[in-house]
Amino acid sequence: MILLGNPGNPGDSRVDLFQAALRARDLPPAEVIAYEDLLAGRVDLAAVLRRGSLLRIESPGRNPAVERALLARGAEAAAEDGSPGVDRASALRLPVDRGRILYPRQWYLGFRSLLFEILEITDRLDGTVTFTSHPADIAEMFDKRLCHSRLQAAGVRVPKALPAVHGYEELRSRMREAGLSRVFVKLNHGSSASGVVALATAPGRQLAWTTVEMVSDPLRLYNSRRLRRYEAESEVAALIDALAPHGVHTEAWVPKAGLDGAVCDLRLVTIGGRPEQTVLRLSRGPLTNLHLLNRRADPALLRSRMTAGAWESVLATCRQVAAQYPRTLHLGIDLAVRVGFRDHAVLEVNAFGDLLHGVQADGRDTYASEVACLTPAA
Amino acid sequence: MIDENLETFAGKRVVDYNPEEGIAKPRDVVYRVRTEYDGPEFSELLGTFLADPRVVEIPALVIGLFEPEAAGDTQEIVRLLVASRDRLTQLRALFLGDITYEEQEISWIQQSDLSSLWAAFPQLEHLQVRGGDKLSLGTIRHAKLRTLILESGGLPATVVRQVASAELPYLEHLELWLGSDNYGGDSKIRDLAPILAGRFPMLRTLGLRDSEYADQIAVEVAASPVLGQLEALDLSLGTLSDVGAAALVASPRVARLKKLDLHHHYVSPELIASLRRLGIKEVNADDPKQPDEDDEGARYVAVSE
Repeated sequence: MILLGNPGNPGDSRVDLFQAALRARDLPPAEVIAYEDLLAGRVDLAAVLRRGSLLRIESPGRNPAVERALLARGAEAAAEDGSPGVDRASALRLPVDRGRILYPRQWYLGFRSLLFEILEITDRLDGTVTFTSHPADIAEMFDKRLCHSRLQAAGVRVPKALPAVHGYEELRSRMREAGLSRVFVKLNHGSSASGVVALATAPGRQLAWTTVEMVSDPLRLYNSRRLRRYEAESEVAALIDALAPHGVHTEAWVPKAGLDGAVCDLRLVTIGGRPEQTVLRLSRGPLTNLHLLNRRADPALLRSRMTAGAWESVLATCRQVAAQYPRTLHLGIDLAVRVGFRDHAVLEVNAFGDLLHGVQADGRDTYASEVACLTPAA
Repeated sequence: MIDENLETFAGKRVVDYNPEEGIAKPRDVVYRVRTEYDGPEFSELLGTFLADPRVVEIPALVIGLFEPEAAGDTQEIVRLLVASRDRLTQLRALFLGDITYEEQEISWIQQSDLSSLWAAFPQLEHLQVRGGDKLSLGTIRHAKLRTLILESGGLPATVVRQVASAELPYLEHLELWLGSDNYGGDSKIRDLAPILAGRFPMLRTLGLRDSEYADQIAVEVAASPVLGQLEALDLSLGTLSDVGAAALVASPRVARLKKLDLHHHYVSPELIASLRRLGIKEVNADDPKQPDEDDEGARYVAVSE
């Protein structure tokens, strides 16, 4: 097995955790390729894969060198489609600026190009290479609009979405046309809660909740740990106008059910098409997928407030989502149960959503379940 | 922020009214009538509810989200309830506005003049309202009301004064979320004077919550006649700091309370420890806050928006 990831990345235990899961099942460790080496051309992926193998592509996240290399890789494509960005040479020199929202579209274009290069390499190897997560699926899950439209077409319960908008004025008029007064605006290629705005509107007023911090002169955006509230139309407009050029996905704000003095949503990890490890996330604000601000609770707390049928239909939805990506072993599905505990909606599907510290299903964590699913005979 | 819809009200489980099922268990559950985005028109839904033959049995009612587009107030709801007064003779408890911020910001909930409820429902014991915008209670004179709770992100001074001059001989529990001046909470400490002087003879629980002038309230309450009759004092959700906490510690009558709730506060750990040593059975000092560094030491109430 080959694992593409960020080995030894400070604060990133994904590679180690997966290796541990292999070891626990008496399997040999995966051969690890570092993103950094692959992107710098220090590894010949075709040579490594020539032997025929199972490739696990891990998250490239949170490694400054990898981030710079992916930005550099996406430079030309970003320039071509007119997205905000920097040229290749400048990308490689970008200083570390913690929390800064740089050029998410350019980053995505770089990552996508890497994923499709991997796919080309494996195509040439005539099907001897298989994936735990298919590169095309990963690419799609890093494009919220694309992912949403696939799920919608498949009849999965998703919030109503708006077409792409390029700024605040256009957003407000699209909202009026669609009869949506409350929406989530998300960076189309943002990960987790990066660049997310919960926007409520009424005639003559607006209110935006976000973790995005605007720093002026020149305007820069940062993901912060604090939930902010912008109410002045000039500020809300500045925020949306700053995010929109990077590509945003807008969908109806699904009113989430409250529990235990907080608002909740679910992260359900499907493995081999089945919902397994599940986390209930409780937050004191509309953004429920912030790791830092929120607490976790036992999903049983939510289940106890739902009818058996309503809960079963949550699981059915997860199976339905997973069925859209049959070439991919695991998905991290973010799902909101609506106010009233009857209905639900899928908010997001994460390609690398299986890092859930300390969460088990039937005595297994996500990595153990994945390994078990890959080696049923063992 | 209000995160959660009511699970229980007036001692019973709250369930959403579904017109297809009708009022099936009027004595076992409390119905919440509410709509949602793309949901049915609220006044029609409430009309159907009020036309149900078993509505005559309900002892309590919760009104939830009624205006998803934040474009209308509660006037029509009040009119419909008052028009059904002869069918709602068992109504003891009413909640107007069980709405979380996921449904609508508290400052966007538009209330209205509720004064016609007093005469229409003489048997009412519990009135709870969320949202201070456009709220008015008129001249309050009611012989049965035991609990009055006004939740808001900014309670208008006019409403505070209406409460402070109310005739409520049986009022036991009074809770005012005073809120932020930015959201219409323009009351001042002097508006509370009649309450602190002991206007309500039966009052046992006083909540002056979510206040930007929590310190002033604490100082005044600590020396006030009303303290002698209280069992519970609730100054939570506000900007209480050491100034107010020191006054509470120094007041001999504070120690006789059974419950003191200060959660969401800016009090130092030392003074919290002093408060805990007073021997009050239950002290809630959870959720300590730090003044916001970004905003020149600004302190915030918990609920305003």
